[in-house]
Amino acid sequence: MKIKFLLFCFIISVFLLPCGFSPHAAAQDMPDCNIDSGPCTKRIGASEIILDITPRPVKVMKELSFTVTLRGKTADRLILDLGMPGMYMGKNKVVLKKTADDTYKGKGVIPKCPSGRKLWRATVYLPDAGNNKKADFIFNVSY
Amino acid sequence: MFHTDSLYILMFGSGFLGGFGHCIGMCGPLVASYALHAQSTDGRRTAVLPHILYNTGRITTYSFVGAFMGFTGSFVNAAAGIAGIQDFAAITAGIIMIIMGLGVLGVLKGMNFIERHSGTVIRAVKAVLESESSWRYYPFGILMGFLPCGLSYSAFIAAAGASDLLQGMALSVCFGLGTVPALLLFGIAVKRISVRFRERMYKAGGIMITLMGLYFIWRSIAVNA
Repeated sequence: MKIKFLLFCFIISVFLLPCGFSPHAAAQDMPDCNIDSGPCTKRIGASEIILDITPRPVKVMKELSFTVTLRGKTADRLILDLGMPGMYMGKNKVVLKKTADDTYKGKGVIPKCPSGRKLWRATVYLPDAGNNKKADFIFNVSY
Repeated sequence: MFHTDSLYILMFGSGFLGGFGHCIGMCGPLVASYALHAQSTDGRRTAVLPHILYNTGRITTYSFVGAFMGFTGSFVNAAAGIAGIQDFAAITAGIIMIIMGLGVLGVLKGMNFIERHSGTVIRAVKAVLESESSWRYYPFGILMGFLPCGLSYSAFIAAAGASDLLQGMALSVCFGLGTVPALLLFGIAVKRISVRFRERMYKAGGIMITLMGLYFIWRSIAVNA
């Protein structure tokens, strides 16, 4: 009986996963940045990180310009990682090159997810601070 | 940013992690569909061959798309160029799943009217699925390689970034090879379970495959609407 139940759960879970029920999805994976209305700001320790994405509204499958303003730290370049909360989306990194004292710019693309999910996350890694020092911006994109 | 060699390893790793963390979730129903269908038509004699041929077909497509991305150097432009093929693949995947699901349930045999009144695509798909050769899974894999997929898009973005035909192709092949272990293991697991729980699995699987086929079609239409 237990095996039958496990088998039933296995079949159901396999077929429901594409519907957007991800085992990794968490309550905190809610938008914390309304990127379509303007830049978003995060503070990590003494550093302030401001992310802007243009053109607005931010659409999938379009070339996008990512601008990060970093206050309280400096680097030659920054790495921005694009991913989806609760679903591994591969390595999609944007290299942001320094264009002014505290401004870094780069171009990238947010791919379309066939599931229709619109929640994306841009992670900015702070220079020389390891993977623990990062700023996550979670926002919705348009199709 | 990265040395070329490490980029290949990165792409393989991305495919490997994505295979277990993404592909099983997104393409699991499709793999389960053809695993059950292969079980119902081939029996146990070709346990692994359909999966190898399906994955080879998928990687063949990735290599050509990656080469195209690398050649154009622009993911956005190249993706727009193949958008029509991807939409076709997405809807065809749904149709294939419905046909497989009905086939597994044993309903399709009595539904010759579908064949008489269906379009060329459905007749072609049905002819391929009813072929006795395991090689039918290779063209099936080629077509399914075009399925719109956020994970493979990330790989193609990297291929476009290479701005080189051969490098774009090689990066996409590395990514595709990375996804094979997860889908291969998953497909074999489904097939093994289906052998053990033949009757119940077939009935439950057939119904779920048919419903998921309808969901695939609805999803591809809704996302593009």
